[in-house]
Amino acid sequence: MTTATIPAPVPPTPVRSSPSSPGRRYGRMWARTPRELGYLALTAVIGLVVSVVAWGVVGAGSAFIVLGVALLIALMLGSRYLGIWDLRRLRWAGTAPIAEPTWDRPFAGKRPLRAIGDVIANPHYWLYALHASVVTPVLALITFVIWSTWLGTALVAVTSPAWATIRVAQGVPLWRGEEGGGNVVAYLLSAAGADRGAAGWAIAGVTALGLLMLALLPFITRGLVLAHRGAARLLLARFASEDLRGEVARADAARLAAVTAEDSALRRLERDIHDGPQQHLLRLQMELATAERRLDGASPEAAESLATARRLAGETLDELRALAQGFAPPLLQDRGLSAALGALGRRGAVPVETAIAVRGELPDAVERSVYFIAAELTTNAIKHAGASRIRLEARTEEEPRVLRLVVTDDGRGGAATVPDHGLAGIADRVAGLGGTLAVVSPVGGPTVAEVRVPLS
Amino acid sequence: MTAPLRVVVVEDSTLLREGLVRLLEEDGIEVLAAVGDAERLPAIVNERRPDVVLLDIRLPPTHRDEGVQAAVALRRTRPDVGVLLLSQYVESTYAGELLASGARGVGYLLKDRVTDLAQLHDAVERVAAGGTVLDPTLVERLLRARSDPRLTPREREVLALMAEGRSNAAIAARLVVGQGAVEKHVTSIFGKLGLEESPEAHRRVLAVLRYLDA
Repeated sequence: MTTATIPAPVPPTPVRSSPSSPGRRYGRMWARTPRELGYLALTAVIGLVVSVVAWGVVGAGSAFIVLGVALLIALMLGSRYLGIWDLRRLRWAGTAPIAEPTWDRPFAGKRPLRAIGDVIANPHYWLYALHASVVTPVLALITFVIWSTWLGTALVAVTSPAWATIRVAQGVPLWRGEEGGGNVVAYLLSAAGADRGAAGWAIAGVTALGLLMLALLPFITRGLVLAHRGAARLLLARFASEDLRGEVARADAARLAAVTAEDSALRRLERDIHDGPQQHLLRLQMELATAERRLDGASPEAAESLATARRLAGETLDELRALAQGFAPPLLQDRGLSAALGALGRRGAVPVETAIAVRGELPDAVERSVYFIAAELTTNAIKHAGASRIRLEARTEEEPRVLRLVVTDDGRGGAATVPDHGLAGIADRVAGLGGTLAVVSPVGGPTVAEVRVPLS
Repeated sequence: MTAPLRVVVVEDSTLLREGLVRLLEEDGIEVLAAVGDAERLPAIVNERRPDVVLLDIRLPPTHRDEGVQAAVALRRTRPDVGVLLLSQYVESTYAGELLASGARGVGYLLKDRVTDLAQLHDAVERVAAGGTVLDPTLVERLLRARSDPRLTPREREVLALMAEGRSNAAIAARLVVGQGAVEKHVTSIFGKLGLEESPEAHRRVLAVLRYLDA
């Protein structure tokens, strides 16, 4: 055995176990080739078929989805206009109007996917679709049967003398058994049979019935229209929450308008005082000073009067200045919130550390209110909490854009428990801006007051 | 008699501009120009070379802080010209900016002060001489606000008068004490505010500045 020439035993492998030369090995390779080709060919077919089927399924499926979504959207939009038309027709029919939902133009200024999403997410579309495709058909079928039967029967009954006369004149029997169905008129006539006297009474009775039915017709139609209206009110009306939302939006706008109006009025007042009475008082003081000088000691009494007058004018000026500072601080007017808050920090009776990062334009009304909120919070910290250090932080945050004001002090805390702490006034101001106020003030301190005001 | 002080007046209100010009002239101060806005101020200063420019703060076009901006700009280009800001209100922010632009020959006064002839003359003269004039209201407010626990009440008084730009002699006269006592207080203030290293005149200003900035 050739194995004897191999120094160590080796596990048998197909190649090594058989006697091999390059020629034989090649021959054996050919022996496998047909099967290999067969495998490859079948694999190719399978691969092709599977890929075609798979892609076909995916493609068809997506086509269905696309088509399905398109049909759904079409159904919803169609239902919307049909529903709106229904509401108009109901009003036209004399029923009390039903408030429509607030519709938007579904595709105006939106990307298609977004618009489709909005339509699908809007419950009104679904309700309108339900109304148009299920409720209206069923209800219309029922009401149609009722009103058409009622009206048809009434008309036939009322006109029964006429066509009875025609039949008699033509010599046709008044009633042929094979005619008619479950009609009450037909029943009465057939019951009367050939008896002319009875037939006369029957016709009179039928006519009376027809007249009665006609007399009752308005009640029937009214009832049926109200049934439609009931369905419409249930499915097509705007939601109470929409009214509420509208009211909230209106109240918001009114509140903001009030705050803005107050702000611009007070700013104008400050300018008016600055440009009007203050300047006149200053000029008055100058004139008095000139007069004093020209008097040059000629009349000490007159000089004294002039000095008093000048002092009074000065005191009035001081009062006007304090007044203006109280409702529209000049620095806030001239430089805006950041500068005013910085000055507020420097003005305090205790050290105030300020960190101010207010970016972008703020509405004037917000600037003024936030300034006074900050001023009151720092005053509170000094007056009520006995703080010896205060930190005043104001920064704007994006997404959503808010102004965040945090006043921290090292005082004795317990802010919420102190009556007349001034927090109520601050809360009112914050509420006026549609913002929130959070005060954390454990007894023993520290107090942290955080105000957030929406800016968009 | 020395040559009269020469000033330029920038005040947008005609009423006050006329009144101010008349007061100044009454006092023997020469008004080179009186204008309603600061737009042409650099040209006027270059042309007429005043000793002092009296500036209102609220000026056209926006009536906000144009006067402060014009004052700071003027300090940068013409530090030799004194600037006296006049306003209907005092803001420490503006005072700080004005002093930071170079504390020699600047002043910031309420308009009320200059209706008094003596005070007007005093202020213009001191600014022209390179002194610092701050409105007493401003100084008082700053000192009240910044009741630095390290300073004694007396030192605070001295610092207030320093901030108004008064000399040691003037402070001594005002407080009815000897000049030596004032000097002792001043040295103590400098020590407490950490200003020992600077030359005296400069230190006085720094002391005030430190208060404004703190």
